Amino acid sequence: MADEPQLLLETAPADFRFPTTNQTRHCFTRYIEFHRCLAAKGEESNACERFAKYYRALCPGEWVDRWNEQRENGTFPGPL
Amino acid sequence: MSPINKVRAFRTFSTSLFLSPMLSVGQQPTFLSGIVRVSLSSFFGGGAEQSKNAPKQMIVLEWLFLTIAPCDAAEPWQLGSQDAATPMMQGIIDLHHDIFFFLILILVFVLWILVRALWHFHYQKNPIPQRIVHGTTIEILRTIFPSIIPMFIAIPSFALLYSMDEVVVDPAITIKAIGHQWYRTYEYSDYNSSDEQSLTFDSYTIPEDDLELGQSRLLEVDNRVVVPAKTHLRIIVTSADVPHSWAVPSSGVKCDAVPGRLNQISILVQREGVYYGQCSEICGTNHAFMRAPGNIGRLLSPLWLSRTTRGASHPRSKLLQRAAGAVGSRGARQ
Repeated sequence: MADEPQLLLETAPADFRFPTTNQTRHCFTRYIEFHRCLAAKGEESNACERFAKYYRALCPGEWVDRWNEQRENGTFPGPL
Repeated sequence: MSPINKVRAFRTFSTSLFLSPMLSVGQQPTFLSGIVRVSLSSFFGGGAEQSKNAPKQMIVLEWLFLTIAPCDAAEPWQLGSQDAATPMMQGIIDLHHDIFFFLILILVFVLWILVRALWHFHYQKNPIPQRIVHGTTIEILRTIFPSIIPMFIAIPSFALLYSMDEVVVDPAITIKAIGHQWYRTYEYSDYNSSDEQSLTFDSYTIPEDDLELGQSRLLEVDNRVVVPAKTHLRIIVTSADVPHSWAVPSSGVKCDAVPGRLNQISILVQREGVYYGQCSEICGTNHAFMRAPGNIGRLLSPLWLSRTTRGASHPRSKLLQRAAGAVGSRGARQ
């Protein structure tokens, strides 16, 4: 057991901006935050991985796929 | 011992009486095959193949010491709630008992007044009635007391209601439950490093014809959701087509799945077990029948978690596949 790697249990933390049952905005905001972070810090930066982890934990895969598609087409509805 | 505790103790007592012979056969409780039949066959040692390996002493011991067997699925002729697996459900059951205290008190009082009035104002017994139409004291009393009682009921009720919404601690795991007509997709994506890697599997209710002995009709699914016990979980509930509802009675959860909206529930499962649930929102033709989205969590210890989640960084980990049943059998079972 001693040589087993340390396990880090981590998911998107509870966010005081979204204290209610409805977490739709939470997911959307984290997605936008990630892409804004990428735009600000550059694609190679590891600083944005945190946000990526959060939105992947919160958003259904289908939604992320659709938003990625919309970003490629330039039809994404959010402020990027 | 308070009356409430007495009631609960009696319930646990009766549950254990009924369920202990079933558990003594060393298999999963066979709710379908009927409590009476199973308990009889194992008690008399006859017929059923399940009782072959069951040592008689175990049965006697469990009857003597009344091993508590939790009720995690509906039983025939069940009247009460299923046994609590989360603090939330415990709160709901406690609230129910608290309210029943007032309820029975009021029932007895009203019945007493009613019977007393019928008795004393009977036309033979009391041929000339008094002409009293007004009484200030009694009118004040019968206005104030009934308005205080709902308050006593409302305070714990609201406290419980709002504590359900509250996410006090950061959850350790997020699981997404996405409703479809008529199955559920579960996503575990805490350990993804890209958008495509998500560990996703579909969970279909096993049709009646495919059930094996001991499986519950309309409750058993092909791929169970596996979550760690004694860990704060966030479950994101949503739907891909029509409204569904993700409900597991033992964990006190009933959360509507609305397309385009993510609903969050946070649960902490206190004991290991298999918990059953069904869709609780009319979601189409097969809502109530074979394709009703059953949710089953097989809840294991954190030790299991430490073994499995490490493997989960490789999304097709054999270990996690085995834990969750066959992963990725999308559409395999109609």
